[in-house]
Amino acid sequence: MFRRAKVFNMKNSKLKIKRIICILFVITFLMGCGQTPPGESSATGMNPQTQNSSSDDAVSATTDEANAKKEYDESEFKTVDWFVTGATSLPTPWNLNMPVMAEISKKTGVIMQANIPAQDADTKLNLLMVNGDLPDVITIMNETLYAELIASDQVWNIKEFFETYLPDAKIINGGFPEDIRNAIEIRDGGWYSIPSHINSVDNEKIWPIPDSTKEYWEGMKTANQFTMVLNRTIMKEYGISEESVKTEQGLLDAMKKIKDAGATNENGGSVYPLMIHANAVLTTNNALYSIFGAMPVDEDGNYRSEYYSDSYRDALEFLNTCYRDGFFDPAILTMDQASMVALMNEDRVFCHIGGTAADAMCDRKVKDENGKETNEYVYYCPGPIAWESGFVPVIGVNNTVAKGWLQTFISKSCEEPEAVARFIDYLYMEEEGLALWNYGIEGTHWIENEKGLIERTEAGKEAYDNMATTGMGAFWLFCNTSYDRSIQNITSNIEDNVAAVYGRSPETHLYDSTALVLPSGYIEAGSSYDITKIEVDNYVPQQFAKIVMAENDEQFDTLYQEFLKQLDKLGLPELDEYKNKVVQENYETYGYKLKAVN
Amino acid sequence: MRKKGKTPAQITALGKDRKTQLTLHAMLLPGTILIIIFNIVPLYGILIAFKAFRPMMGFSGIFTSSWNNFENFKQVFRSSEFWPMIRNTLGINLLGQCITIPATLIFALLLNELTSKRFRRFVQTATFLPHFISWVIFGGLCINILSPDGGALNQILMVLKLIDKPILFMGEARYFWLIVILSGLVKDIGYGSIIYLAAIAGVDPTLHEAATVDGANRFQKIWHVTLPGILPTVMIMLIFAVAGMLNNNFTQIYVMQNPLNQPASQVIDTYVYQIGLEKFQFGVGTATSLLKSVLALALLTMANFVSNKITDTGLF
Amino acid sequence: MNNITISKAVSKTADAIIIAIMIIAVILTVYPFYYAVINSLNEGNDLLKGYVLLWPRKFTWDSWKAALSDSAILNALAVTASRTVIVTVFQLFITSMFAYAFSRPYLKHKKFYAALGFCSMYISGGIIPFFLLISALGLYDTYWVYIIPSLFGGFYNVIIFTSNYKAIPASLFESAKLDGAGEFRIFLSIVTPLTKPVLAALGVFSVVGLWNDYSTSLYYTQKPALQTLQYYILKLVKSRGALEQLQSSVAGNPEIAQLFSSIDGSGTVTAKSLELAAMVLATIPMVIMYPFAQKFFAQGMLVGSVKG
Repeated sequence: MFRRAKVFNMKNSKLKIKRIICILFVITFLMGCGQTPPGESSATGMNPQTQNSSSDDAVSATTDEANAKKEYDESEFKTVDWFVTGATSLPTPWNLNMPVMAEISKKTGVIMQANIPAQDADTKLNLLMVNGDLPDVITIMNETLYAELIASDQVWNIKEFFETYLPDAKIINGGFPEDIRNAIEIRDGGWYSIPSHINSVDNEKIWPIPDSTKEYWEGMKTANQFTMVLNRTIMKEYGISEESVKTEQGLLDAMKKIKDAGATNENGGSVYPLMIHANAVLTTNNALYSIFGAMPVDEDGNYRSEYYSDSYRDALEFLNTCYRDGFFDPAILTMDQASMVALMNEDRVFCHIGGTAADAMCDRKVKDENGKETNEYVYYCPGPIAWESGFVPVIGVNNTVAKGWLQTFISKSCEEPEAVARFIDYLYMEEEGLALWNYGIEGTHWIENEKGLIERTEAGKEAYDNMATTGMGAFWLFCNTSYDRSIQNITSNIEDNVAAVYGRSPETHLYDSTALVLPSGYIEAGSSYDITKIEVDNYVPQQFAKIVMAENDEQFDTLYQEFLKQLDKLGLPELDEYKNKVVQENYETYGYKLKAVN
Repeated sequence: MRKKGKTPAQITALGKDRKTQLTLHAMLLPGTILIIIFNIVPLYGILIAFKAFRPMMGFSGIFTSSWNNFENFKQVFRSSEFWPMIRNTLGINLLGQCITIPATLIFALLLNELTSKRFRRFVQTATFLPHFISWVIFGGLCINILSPDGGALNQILMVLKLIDKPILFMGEARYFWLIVILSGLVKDIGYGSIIYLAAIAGVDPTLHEAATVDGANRFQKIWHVTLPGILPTVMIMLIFAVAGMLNNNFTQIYVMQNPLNQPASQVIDTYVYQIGLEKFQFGVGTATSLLKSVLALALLTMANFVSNKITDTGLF
Repeated sequence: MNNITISKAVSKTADAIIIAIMIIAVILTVYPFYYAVINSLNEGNDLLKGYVLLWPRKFTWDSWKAALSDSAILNALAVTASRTVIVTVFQLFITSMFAYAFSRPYLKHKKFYAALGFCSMYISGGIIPFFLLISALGLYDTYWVYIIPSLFGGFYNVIIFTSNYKAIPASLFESAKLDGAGEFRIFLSIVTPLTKPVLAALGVFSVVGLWNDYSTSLYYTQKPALQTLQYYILKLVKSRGALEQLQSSVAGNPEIAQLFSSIDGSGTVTAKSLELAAMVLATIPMVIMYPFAQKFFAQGMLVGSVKG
C-alpha cells in the first residue's frame, strides 16, 4: 500500500532540500565571480582582450630612455603572469606591503603574479602549449622542454625582444657575458632564454671578485658536493688519526676498528662504518666517479660512459670489500634520504660517500668534553685517498655555466613587453636591482662593510629566513653568480668546506668538461637512444646491488661481466657513439681534447 | 487498435507507453549530456596514441601530425623488463584481490554483528582513518616498522623467539608483494567495507525475522540470508576488480620500491611514468592507457559473463 | 543444558572473538594516524633525527600554528567545503536519477546508454583533449571548473545504484502506478528513501574523493584564490620536499645546493612537520562527517517503510 503520510513528509523535506540547494547555488555563483586575490590590480592570463601596448612600441622605445631612472606609481603597475618552476619560494600572491616587493614594483612598474604549480609543472606547461596560450613569462628547468618551447616558435629571441622594447637595456649592452651567450647559441641554436646562476670568465670581468675573498671563490670553482666525508667525533673516540685514513688500507682498518668495537653513538644506536645513498645509485655514482677517478671519455678522448671505466670497477670492488668485511650493511640499499640524513645527524655514520648538500649535514660542529662547540666541523672531507689501484680522483669543471639551472622564456603573446623588459633588466643586470632582491634595502637590511662586501643586518637576516613571505632572496631565476661572488661576505674558511677539498688538492685531476655539454634535446624523447638511457638507468641500480653484495671474487667477476654485457645489449655503446659526435665537434670548437687518466 | 490482450492501464503499468518513456529519457538526459560533453567529446584524443604528436604542434597537431605505425605501442613492449613488469602487475593484483575482497567482506560482516552500537560506530570511524594518510607518510611508516635497525616488527619477532636476527623485509623481492598487499589492506579495509555495509543494511529485515523464527543461529543467518542478499554487490565488486587487473596504486609502489626489490616491484604504471610522463611522451601514455582500457573492457565482459552464468547476477 | 543455552554460549564466545578482532583492527588502523599526529606535534628539526613512535620527543604546537596561520588556508577550506557539498548533492541526484531510469527493464534504447556508460568508464582521450575542452568552455581558472565536469558521478556509481534498484520488488512499482504515480514521482518518493544506505555510501565516497582532490587545481586553475585544500597542502609539502630531489640533480653546483639548505628550515617547523600537521588537520572534517553517514548503515531502520 502506498503510504500517503510518507509523501507529505517527503514533500516537506523536499522543500527544505530545495531551499538549501538554492542557497548553495547563490553561494556558488558569488564565489564563481569576482575572485580577485589581493595584490592583483588587473585580470590577465587567459583573457586575451586586455589592451596590448605593442602598438605604442615606437613611443615607448624612446620614452623608456627617459624612464630609466623613473619610479612608478601604483596606478601604473602592470601585472605580469609568470609561470615558475624551481623558484618555489617566490611569494604568491605579490604583496605590496613587503618592502622588497614594494620597492621592486616602484622601480620597475611591475607586479609579478607567479604561478608555481605544486607538481607536474612541465605537464601543465605542455597543456598550455597545446592550447596555444602560454603565460607571459615562463621559467623552467627541464631541458627537453626548452627544445619544445623553442621549436614551437612561441617564445621571443632575447636580443630581438630587448632591441624592440628596451634598447638601452644593460643585457644587450654589455651586461650579459659574451661567452655564455655563445654557449647558449651553440646549445639552443639561438639566444632564447635567460639562464640563472650565470658564471663564466667573461662574467667575472663584469663583476670582479675582490681580493679579500679571492681564495675562497677560487676554491669554489672546483667544488663538487659529491664527495666523501668522515666523522671526527667517532674518530676521536676510537683514536683514529686523520693521517691514517688517507690510504685505502688505512680507511678499511679504521672501519674495521669501528665495527669490531661495536661502536655506538651516545644514545646506543649502532654506527654504520660506511654509508652511501644506495637507494639512489644514479646520484651516488657522481661521488664514486669523482673519488675513484672515472671520466666519461676513454684514452683516445672518445666519449664513453663511466660504467665501462676501470675506475668504476675499482669503486665497485671497494664497496664489495666493505660488504664482505661487514662494513656495508645491506639495509642501506633500502634507506631513503631522510633516514640517512637522520643517521648522520645522530653521529651514527663514520664514512659517507655521496652528496653533502642535503639538510646541512655537514654544518654541525664538534663539541668538546664540556659540551661547548669547538671550531671543528663534525664531518670533514679527508681529501684524495691513496687507492691501491693508484687511481687519482677527478673533477670535471665547466667554467662557462651556460646551463645555469633555471631558464626564463618570454612568450610572444606577452601583453606587457616593456614592463617585462624593465623587470628582467633591473633585477638581473643592474647592481641596484641585484642588491635589492638579494639583500633588501640598503641601511635597513644590509650595509656595506669595510671590505666593500655586503653584510646583512638582523632585520635582513630575518627577512631572508622568511623569503616566501618577504620575497627577499627568492628570485632565483635571476641569480647572477658572478655578482654574488663579487659582493658576498664570506665568514667561513674554504678549508672547512667539504665540497671544495678535493678540488683544491694537487692530487686531484681537474679537467675541462665544457666540451661534454650536449645541445638541449639532442637525445630526442622516444628515440632509441632515449629508450637506452631509460633502460640503463633502470638496470644499473639493480645490478649495482648484486655486484656490491657478491660473496666472493668469482661471483664478483661473473656479475661484473654480466653488467658490462647487459649494458652492451641495451645499446649503451651506440648511445656513447651518438654523444661522441657532438663531443668531437666541441673539441674542434673549443680547441682542446680530453684524455682519460687512470 | 488495442494491443492484443492488454488494457491501456496495463500498458502504462508495463511502462512501454510514450509518456513513461519520455519521462525516463528526461531523467536520463542531464547525465547523458554530461557524459557526452566530458567523456565522449574528448575521445578524439585517442588519436595521439597513433601519431607522432608533440605539444608544440598545438591543437591541430593532434589531427595533422603523422601516423607513426604503432611506435608508441611498441615502446611499452620494447622494455627488457616487459614480462617481469606484467608478471608483477598481475601478481600483485590477483594475489591482492584474493586477500583483500574476502577480508573486507568478512570485516563488514563482523562489524554488522557487533551488538553495541557505540562500539560499532567507534570501530567504523577508527578503521576509516588510514585512508586519509598519504602513501608517502604511510609508506615511510611501513618502511620504518619493517626496518632491521630497530624496526618494530623485527623487534617483536625476536622477542617472541621466532627469528634470531632481523630480516631485511624491504630488501627481499619475495616479501614485496605481501608487503604491498597487507599495507594496502590496513589502509583501506575500513573505507572499502562501506559499500558492503550499505549492501548489508539493504537486506530485507523481514527475511531475518523469518529466519529467526525458523530457528537459525547467527552464523546460519549470515550464510543463508545476508550473503545471498548482498551477492549482487559482491559480484559487482569482483567484476570491477577483474577489470582493474592492470592498474596499480602508483604512489604506493613508487614509495616502497628500491634497487633490491625492483625485480618484484616494477609494474606497468611505474614504468609508464618513467618513459611517459617524465618526458611528455603523451603518445606513449595514451597508447598504454588505450591498451589497458581495451583489455579492461575485455576482462570486464568475460567476468560479467562468468558471473551471470554462475550466480545469475552481473552488470548487464 | 538445552539447545538454547548452548547456542547462547556459542554466541557469547563468538561475540568475544569478534570484539577481539575488532580491537586488533582498531589498533592497526588508528596507529598510523596517531603516528602522524605525534610527529606533527614534534619539533621539525628534531624529526631529522628520526620519527617518533610513541610520544613526541620535543613537543610543540608550532607546526599546527604554521599550517593554520596562512589565511590562504581558510580560503582553500571554503573552496573545498563548498565544492564538496554542492557537487555531492547534485551528483547523487543526477546519477541516481539516471540509474533509476536505466534500471527500468522496459526502457527503450537501453543499449545506447549502456554503450555510452561503459565507454565513458574505461576509455579516455587523455588529459590533453580534456584540458582543451575545459578551456574552450571557458571553465579554465574559474570556480565552475570544480562543479560542472563533476556533476555526473560516473558510470561505476550508476551500476551500483542500478543493482540496488533492480532488487526492489516489482509489486511496489505496480501498485504505485495503479495509484497513478509517474516515474519521477516513484523515483523520489519510493525508491530514494528505500535506497538510503547506498546513497549514503556513495555520498561518502563522493565527499571523500572531492575533499582529497588536488589535480583539478593543479591542471585547470591558476589563481591562488581557487586552490583547494589538498592542493594547498601539496604546495606546502612539495615546495620544500622537492628540494631533496633537486639537491641530487644539481650535481656539483654548490651555489644552488646552498639555496636549498638555506630555506629548508632548521627550526621547529620543517617541511616534514608541516606536511604532517596539514594532513592531520585536513582529515579532521572527514572524521567528523563520517559518523553522520554511518547512521544510514544501520540495518533494520527500514522496517515499517515497506509493507506488503
